[in-house]
Amino acid sequence: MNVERPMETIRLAGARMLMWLFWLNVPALMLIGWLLKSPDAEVGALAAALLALLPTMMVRRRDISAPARMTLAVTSVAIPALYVFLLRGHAWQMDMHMGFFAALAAQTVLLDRRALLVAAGVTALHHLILNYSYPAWVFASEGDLPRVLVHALVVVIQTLMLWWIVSLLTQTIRLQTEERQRSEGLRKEADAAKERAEVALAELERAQTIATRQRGIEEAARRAEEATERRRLVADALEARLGAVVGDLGQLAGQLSASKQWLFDLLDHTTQRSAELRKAHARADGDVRAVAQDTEKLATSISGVGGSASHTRDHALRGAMATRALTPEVDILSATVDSASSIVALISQIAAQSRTLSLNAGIEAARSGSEVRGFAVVASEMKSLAAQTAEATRQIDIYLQDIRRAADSVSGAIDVATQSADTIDRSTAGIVDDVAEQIRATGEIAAATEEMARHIAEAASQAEALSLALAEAQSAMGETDAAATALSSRSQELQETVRNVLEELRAA
Amino acid sequence: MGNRWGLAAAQLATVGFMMLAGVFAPPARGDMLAIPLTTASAHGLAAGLIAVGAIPVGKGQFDGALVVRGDRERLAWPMIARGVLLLAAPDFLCVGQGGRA
Repeated sequence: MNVERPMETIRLAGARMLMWLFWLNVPALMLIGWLLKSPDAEVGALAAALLALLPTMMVRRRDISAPARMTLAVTSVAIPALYVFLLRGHAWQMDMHMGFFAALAAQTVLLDRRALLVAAGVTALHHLILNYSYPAWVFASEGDLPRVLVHALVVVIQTLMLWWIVSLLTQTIRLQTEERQRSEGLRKEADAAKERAEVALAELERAQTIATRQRGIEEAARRAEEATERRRLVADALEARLGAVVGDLGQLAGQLSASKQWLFDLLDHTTQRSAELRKAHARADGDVRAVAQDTEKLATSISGVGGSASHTRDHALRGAMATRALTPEVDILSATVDSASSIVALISQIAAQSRTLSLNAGIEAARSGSEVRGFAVVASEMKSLAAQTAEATRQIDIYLQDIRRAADSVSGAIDVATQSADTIDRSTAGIVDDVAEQIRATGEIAAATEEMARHIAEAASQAEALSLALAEAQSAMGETDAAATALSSRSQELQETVRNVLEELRAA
Repeated sequence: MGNRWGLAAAQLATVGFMMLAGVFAPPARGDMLAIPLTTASAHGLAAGLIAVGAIPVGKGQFDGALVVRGDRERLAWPMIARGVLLLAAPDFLCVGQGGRA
């Protein structure tokens, strides 16, 4: 970017502002002249318009070159002169000179020290000239050179200050422009770097896209390879399974064909057996009926045995009851024998005491002499009696013991008889139960026999149906033979088809 | 660029011309310098000026020129018709202090 461009921008803006101010003075001069009732109002306004033409043309052409700035500067200091001209002889004429200072200050917008000098020079020059040629235009009073010089000094001071300001502004703007240019350069470099980065990013994205596409292709290839491998495995599996199945089918067809004749023979044999079975059924039917009659006879006989057993049981029960009735009597007999034994023991004890007493009496009789010999005889007799008594009690005791043993034997016999009666009762009861069970079993045998006869009849009818089925089976076997032949040929076709399909599957 | 400097010079000239015009243009009312451009117009100039309401107040630096005081509207066209140039009357165009009455 050109360093002067920002200056030109500011200058152009200032020039436009000055242009509009020039044209603003046209109605202002007209208005002031009308208010002052000046006969030169139109002249002043016309002169302002005439002065504004050329700067306007330049500004409209965006011409802010040095000559254009000079033109603007000259015009700027000429406009206040029109006010001074219009107010000549008026009390405010002197105040209109302030416009020159404002015009000088306005030159700062042009950022041109030469234009500032031209404006100041034109201001000073025309005041100096008019001071001699038409002093009334410079001051309301007559011309006064010292005052002109004082005013010129003020103009010079203002010009110097404006010069300094314009210099600073120009320098600042140029520095700013240079900085901006530097910044612009850096920005451009940054933009270029950004563009390069964007290009690199785009390249990277393109590379990523290509890589992604390549990965997709590789993935697709891998999947295709996997699919091919899977198809190959599937084909192998199918070949293994279908081949085995087809082989089995072929083998089965062969076996079926081989078994065909065997089945025919078997059917013939079965048909013959079926006829024999029907005959056997007829014989079995007759046998079963005979068994049924014998079973009825057996049942009648068993019923008779059951009645005898019941009668025997009744007698056994009565014997047992009679035998049990002997038991108290035997017990009483035993008690009596025991009582007798105690009495015998008492007698024996008395006999022992009598013998002891007779012994003592004999001893006393011996010591006393003859006067008591009779007493010794008595003692001897008593001793003899005691001995006899002891002997008698011993014999009684032996008899009592025999009686006791006999009672015990009777009691044992009664127990045995009772147990025997109970045993007979239980046996008889068991016989009765067995007979009842045999009667029931016999009934069941009769029922089973009838059921068997019915089954034999059904089996006969089934044998008939079997004969018919065998005939149908023979016809079906003929069809099966044809089907087996067709199955064998179709199995070979299937094997060939499977081989072709597997070859196509592997090739896909 | 040369053309532009010409325009700047033209604007400067315009300003100068306006300054001169301001200096030499006759005022609406006041002292004015009537300069006869021909000998015929110089003859009877004073009478002609008086006839249109002007009052002669002195002589000008030029031959036959008169300084008059009057009304510009009344003087302008008759004087132009007589071949008389009507200007303002600055001191340096008048004959000394006594030039103007």
